[in-house]
Amino acid sequence: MVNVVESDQLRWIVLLPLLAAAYHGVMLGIVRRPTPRWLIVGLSCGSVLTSFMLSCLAFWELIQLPAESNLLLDDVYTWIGSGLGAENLTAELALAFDPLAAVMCLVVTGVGSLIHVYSVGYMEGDQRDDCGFQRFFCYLNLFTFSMLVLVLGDSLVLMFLGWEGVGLCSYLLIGFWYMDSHNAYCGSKAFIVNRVGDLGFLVGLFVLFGALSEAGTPVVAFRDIAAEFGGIVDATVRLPFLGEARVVTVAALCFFLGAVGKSAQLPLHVWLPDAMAGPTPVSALIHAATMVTAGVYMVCRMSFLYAASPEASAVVAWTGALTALFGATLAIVQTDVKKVLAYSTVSQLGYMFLAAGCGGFSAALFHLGTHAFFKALLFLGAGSVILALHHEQDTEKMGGLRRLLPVTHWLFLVGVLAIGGVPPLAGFFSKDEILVAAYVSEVPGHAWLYRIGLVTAGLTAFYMWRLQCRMFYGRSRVEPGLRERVEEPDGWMSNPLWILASLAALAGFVGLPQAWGDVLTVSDSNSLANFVSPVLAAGGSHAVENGTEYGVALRSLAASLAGFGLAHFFYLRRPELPGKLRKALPSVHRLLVHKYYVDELYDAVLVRPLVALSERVLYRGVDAKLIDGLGVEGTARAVRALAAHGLKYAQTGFSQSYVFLMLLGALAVVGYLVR
Amino acid sequence: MIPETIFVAVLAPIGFAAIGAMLVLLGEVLLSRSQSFLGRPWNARLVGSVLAGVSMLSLLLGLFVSIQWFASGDVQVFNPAHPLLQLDRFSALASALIITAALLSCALATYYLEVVGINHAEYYALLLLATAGMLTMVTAIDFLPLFVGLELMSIPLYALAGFDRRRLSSNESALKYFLIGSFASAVLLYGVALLYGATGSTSFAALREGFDPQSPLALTGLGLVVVGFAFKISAVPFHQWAPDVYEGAPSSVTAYMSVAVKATGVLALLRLLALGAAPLGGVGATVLDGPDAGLLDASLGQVLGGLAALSMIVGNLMAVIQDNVKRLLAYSSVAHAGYLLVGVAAGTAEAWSAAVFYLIVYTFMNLGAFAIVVALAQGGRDCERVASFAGLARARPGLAALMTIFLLALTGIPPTAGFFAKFGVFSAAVNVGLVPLAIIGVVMSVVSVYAYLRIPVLMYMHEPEEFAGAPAQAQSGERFVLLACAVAVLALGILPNGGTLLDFSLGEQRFALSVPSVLDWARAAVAFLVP
Repeated sequence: MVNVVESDQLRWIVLLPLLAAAYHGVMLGIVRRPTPRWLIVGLSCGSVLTSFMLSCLAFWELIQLPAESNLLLDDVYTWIGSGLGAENLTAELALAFDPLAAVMCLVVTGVGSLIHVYSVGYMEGDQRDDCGFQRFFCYLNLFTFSMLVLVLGDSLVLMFLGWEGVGLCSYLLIGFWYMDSHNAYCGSKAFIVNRVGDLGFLVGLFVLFGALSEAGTPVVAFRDIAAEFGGIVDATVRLPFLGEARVVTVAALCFFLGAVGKSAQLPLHVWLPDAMAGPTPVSALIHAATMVTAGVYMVCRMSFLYAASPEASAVVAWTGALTALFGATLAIVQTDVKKVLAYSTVSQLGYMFLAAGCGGFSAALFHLGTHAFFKALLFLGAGSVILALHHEQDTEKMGGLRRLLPVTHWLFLVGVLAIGGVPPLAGFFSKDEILVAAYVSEVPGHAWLYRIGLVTAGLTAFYMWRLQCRMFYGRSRVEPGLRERVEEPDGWMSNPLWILASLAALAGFVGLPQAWGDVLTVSDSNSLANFVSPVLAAGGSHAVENGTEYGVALRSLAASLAGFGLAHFFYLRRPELPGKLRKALPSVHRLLVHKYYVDELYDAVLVRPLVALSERVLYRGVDAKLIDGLGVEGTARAVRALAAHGLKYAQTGFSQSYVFLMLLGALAVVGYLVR
Repeated sequence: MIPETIFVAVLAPIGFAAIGAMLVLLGEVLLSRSQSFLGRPWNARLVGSVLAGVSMLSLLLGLFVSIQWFASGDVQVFNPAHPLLQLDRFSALASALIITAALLSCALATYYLEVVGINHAEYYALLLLATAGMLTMVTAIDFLPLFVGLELMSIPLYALAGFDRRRLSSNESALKYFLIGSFASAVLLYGVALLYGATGSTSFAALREGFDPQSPLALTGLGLVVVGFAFKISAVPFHQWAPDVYEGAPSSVTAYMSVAVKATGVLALLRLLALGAAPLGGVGATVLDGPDAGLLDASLGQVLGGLAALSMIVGNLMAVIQDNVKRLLAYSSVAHAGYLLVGVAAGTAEAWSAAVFYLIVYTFMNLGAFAIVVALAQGGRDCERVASFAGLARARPGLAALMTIFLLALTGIPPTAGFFAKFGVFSAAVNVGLVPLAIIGVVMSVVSVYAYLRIPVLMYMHEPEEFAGAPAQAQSGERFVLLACAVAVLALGILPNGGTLLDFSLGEQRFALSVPSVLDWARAAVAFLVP
């Protein structure tokens, strides 16, 4: 049992962004008068920055705690209370700040505030909508609030609230420029695909709670579930068509379905590339750094569940590995800079699930953090380029930007090297730890998992260097008229990039594997793993020999360098080669450009039949004809006809006939009584 | 010299109404005579207002006396040697209800009469006389005063129905009402005669003791009396006069008739059954077997239940196809007679209390709906067509909102009192096993939605067609009535339970009326669904 320390400052971390969002909402929807720009900026950025500072304070408080307690709890009030005894359900509206939440909270508020600041510059000149500036910050603040609820929520129920909240904000922000119907379509697609995952989350919640209730411990708070978990480890549940199965496995798989939706894993990855329709800071914050990692966070949060179910863990690991490879291959052929980064995100999230499935929860969390830094850096850097080129995203029309945007080039380069796995930048260490986890795990086929991870590392370096070459090096393909007007972004945009670049470069050292620590004579070098391990299940993590560690690191470095070299050769030395290759292997290229035809498959198998069913059968047949036509209007018509063609004729208007009818009535009454 | 044994106080409510009628007539004569001395005519409006004031004052006195009597809880008989009238809590409550309806009708009429051009003093005198008749009916404990009251009520109403004598439809209305009403009175009187033949007395108490359930004479008499009452409350198949009469009579008269006559009919019937019909049934008759059952004979209960079912079905179905608001409300009043008879037929204390509560609510909601029709009258004409309500929400948003409230109440939709009234009646019916009646009632309530909600749909969702010249505001009298009715309809539905408000007995029948709270009814509903 964890010793809990009360702390009533946590609520302000969550509340401040909500208050800012509420203020914007009131001004936009009710007051309807323009708010001065400095006030919008001050409130939005100020609230998130203050949240970040409060998170730092809470973090400080947390590490000051004595060894036996590692949880700050802010129990605001009893949110849901019902039932008695073993049948009861009590969900507290409580915020919990443990090491896992602390890492996540710092990332969300830290990267979040940087992106808020960056957005001020990015949205400055946007004139597509009258109140767009305020609306943007309203949604962004609301997103931060929801994400913090998701992260700090003490129970599954509260986490689900945040889970849905971030989904809503994601929808709102993808379709932010809704006047273009394609953007609105992309927003809807993201929302609908996420619903599939949300269903999984809910079913998982019900299965888990049902099992806990049957065991006599109906709890929803994470720490209570962890404490009572022993009671349901061996419980089984009967599934339709599938027979008996372990509750733990079923719940874990259901929750994982939720994570698959939110984190864009196979086969629900289709929404994330389309989500790039939103403004670039949104892509950076929501669709790279924070929201999409919620699935990983949730799996880590429920690590005891996955540790208890090897089957579910294997599914997680294999889904992650395949997604990593899948995303990386797609990123190779994309020409839109944001699409490349989107598939890269899909791929990197796959990495995190690979780690989590192999029991390396702290490795997953580590990569989550470093990825947030370098992917945010890459997106914001790309955003600077896009804005400088007046909303041009196609790399076909870039090239040679190094001379025009030197600062952005250097910052972007840091991000590319970090994600490509060049030591000593952050990506190298976190990816290395994942590969080690895969290498030593006992998941079925772990050797192949490791190989897939290694290949993906090479592919990552390849497509990132390809991107870098096509954007910044070589011949300039920028339109001549535009070239003179290209200028470096202002301070609002460049300063966050500097901070992110330094984080992307240095963050790897918080999770330095012990093998490297031995070299540098630092004890307990993997401070992140040491920090979070008390709240994570120890499943599958083994003591790794230093030799293994060096071997894995060398191989991954080799893969990265091979990727970089190959890309350099293809796109700088022999720029005509990619075209030839494309001609030589047209079917492969077509397959990749069409993203393995997954969207087309969904369209043909799910969307069109469903739309046809709704339109032709359910709407025109059932609703319009049966319910409306026969049920509602039919009875109405029948009633009317009964009166209009039957009863009406008794009402002749002649007193004689009235009296006659009365007489008959009186006879009937008397006759019935006398009988 | 009045003998000590005659308690004149019993006559007080009736007396105030009757004296008021005479004062109005005298006042009219005096005022019109004084014109010749003054040399110029009185302001017609002023005269109308003064006379309306006199009538309302006398009614207020009657109301005051009734309430006083109810509070005191005394039982007094007028002329104990040969008891004819008895003032008790039931009659006091009934009188208060009827007088309230009459008061509101007076307030409603003043401006309307002027608009339609029939501003004559006789109107108020007739109205007061009819009220006196009604009060006599609900105070009677003998068939003689019952019949006298019936005629005292009916004859002024015949005149009132034809009050707009220049209008053909008004004349038709009066004549039809008179012809058919006479027939019904004759039937009732014939029934009374047969009962007298069977029991040797006209008093309710004698009926109770001397009634022989096996005697065809007595049963026929009882049946004919029931038919007479069924006519007055316009239950199917004795309802056909209602649409024609309601349509032709001036709207203010229709408003008064539709609530006061129905209330009188039901209350007098309850009084007759409670005081007179007890020995009829033999406790534990087939339909009603419960501890509370037995005041009502099984076969009489079935007759009333049959009338109820027919009324609900025919009234609601016919309401659907009407395109005249007054006819629509006439059929609606037929349907409501059905709902009321459900309560009467169920026969338990719960059911009869529910029926009385229904009457109270019905008085306010129906009067309110008619008040809207009255308030919309202009240029000497009634606003009668359903289609003319189109777009009213834009021209007269307040009236449209009030009309919607009244129609929702008539439909029986919470939180208006109409829902609780209906719920009480139906649940009482279910409790004694009259499930088919309750089912018919609920299904027909659904049909009634179609009939009533056409008007809000027209008011809120259609373009106005002819309200360009509508008067800017309802007059003060009309506004008072509308407001009073709306407040009553909502308050009786929303106010929390103040405990049992009215608790009294009549004969062996106990009445317990409470203002229902949403919570209590909901609890009852849940308890009903989850046994």
